[in-house]
Amino acid sequence: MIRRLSPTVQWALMSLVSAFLFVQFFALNEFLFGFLEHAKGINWVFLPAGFRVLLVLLLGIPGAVGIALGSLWLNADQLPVLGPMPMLLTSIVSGFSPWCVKYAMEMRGILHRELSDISSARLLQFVVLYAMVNAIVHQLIFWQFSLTGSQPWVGVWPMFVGDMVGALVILYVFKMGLRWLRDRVQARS
Amino acid sequence: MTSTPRSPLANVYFRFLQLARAVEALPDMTALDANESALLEAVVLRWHEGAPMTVREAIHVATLGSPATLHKRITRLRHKGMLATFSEAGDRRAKFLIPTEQALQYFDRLGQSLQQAQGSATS
Repeated sequence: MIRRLSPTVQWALMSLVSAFLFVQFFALNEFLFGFLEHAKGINWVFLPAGFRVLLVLLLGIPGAVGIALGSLWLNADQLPVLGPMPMLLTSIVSGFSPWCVKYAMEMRGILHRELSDISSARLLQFVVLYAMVNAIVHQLIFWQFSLTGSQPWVGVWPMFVGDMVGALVILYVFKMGLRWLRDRVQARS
Repeated sequence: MTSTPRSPLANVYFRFLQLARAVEALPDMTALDANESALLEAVVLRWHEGAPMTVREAIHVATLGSPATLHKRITRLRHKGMLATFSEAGDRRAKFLIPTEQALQYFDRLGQSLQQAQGSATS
């Protein structure tokens, strides 16, 4: 069935599924960690950040496009006060900051496009760099558009920490899931 | 040799396998350092031979460290869920060290890795 889908359709499908999953994870994060919200859309634990890491590393550009679409939808729904241009820019940054970090690492020869040389240390490096770039660029946009109360040097920390912690939580949940699966398979054999 | 499958979804699956390997290797609380690993091996070998080591014996394995260091190391291994203790019904003074299920799984994984390495070396 899937083999008959053209690459373009597969690409579109991956973007739409990414957008859907990103929005769902955002809702899950609000449910679980809503009490840790620093400002609207910025949380000290931001699980969708981990999902960004997985989607961009696994899907590449379709993942980044999906995250940007999901982010745009969330911004329009929950942060209409941002205005159209900041809304669009932050959505693009949300999706493409991890992709840009991945691309930069590929260009420097420290990460293979197909992840064939990825190690746990490289993965953690990617998470730190992405969290840093994402937080800084978001804050620069807020600052550029003089959004209420925007102080980049203050606001950058909750976003950086939230992205880092969220990404680590998701990666370790993924790790536990893999271990659980492995144990189940071993128990059956 | 450098060509990749054309289907984007197939590429995603291959990347998933690579990423899963990196995620599984992420450091966690149960990761053992070389000294802990050496002590665990010594304890488990004795258990495997059918003569479990007592705590007293373990802290006097001079090749692995001083008694105080080894005592701390045993405590860490117990906190990490790799070692447990038991006493015989007739003599509650002697505490024997035995591997937990988690420790046995750890050695099971090491065995599998050895097998894989051997397989890839011979192929």
